Amino acid sequence: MIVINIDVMLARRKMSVTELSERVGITLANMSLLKNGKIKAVRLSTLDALCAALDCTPGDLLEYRSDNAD
Amino acid sequence: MSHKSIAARIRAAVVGVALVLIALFALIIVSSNDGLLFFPDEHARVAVWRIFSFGGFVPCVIALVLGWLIAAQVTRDRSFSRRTATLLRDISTCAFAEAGYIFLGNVLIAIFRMEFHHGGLILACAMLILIALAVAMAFAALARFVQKAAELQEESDLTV
Repeated sequence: MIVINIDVMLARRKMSVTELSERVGITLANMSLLKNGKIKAVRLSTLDALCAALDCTPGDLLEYRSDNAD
Repeated sequence: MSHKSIAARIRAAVVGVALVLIALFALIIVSSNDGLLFFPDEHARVAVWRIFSFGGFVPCVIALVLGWLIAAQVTRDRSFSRRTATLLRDISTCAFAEAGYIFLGNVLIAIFRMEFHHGGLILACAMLILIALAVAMAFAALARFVQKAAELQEESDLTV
């Protein structure tokens, strides 16, 4: 499964979810869904905006974890 | 066309069909009363025919209620939702039930030799069966399309 590490990046950048959602240009509700991994897909434009706002690469935000791993 | 005007048109169609059904209901009562005037000894047969005719209204009334609920869904801009698809599928089921009811009713009436049920009525029933089957198939297809659209909508809603 793909895990979105927004929490980690937010902590590293000392940024709030509200601030990130404003910078990225998505609603707080959508940011919350994104943060909690309750979405089905991320647009490349959203990923681009996230990377720009958090000054990171997609690899920093997305992580693959095997479903079998405990 | 906005979703609210579409909903208003659906409601107008539902009211129109309801008025036609009320007119048909009245016509059946009047014509069966006339039948009793000409054949005063046929009380039992007229009663059976009346019950059969009135029974045919039940799926229509249920379908009208479902149509009204669909209009409510459209008003809330939730045209492409699983609920709408279910309502459309239920209307299709009602139409299939109507066709089956009319067919079985005619078979039973033929078995019990209800002469009151003459050829013209059998022809009208055959037409009704064809119309009900056409409506059932159209709504079943529509339900399938709305179901697929609802799935796409959900996917779109969960894309950030």
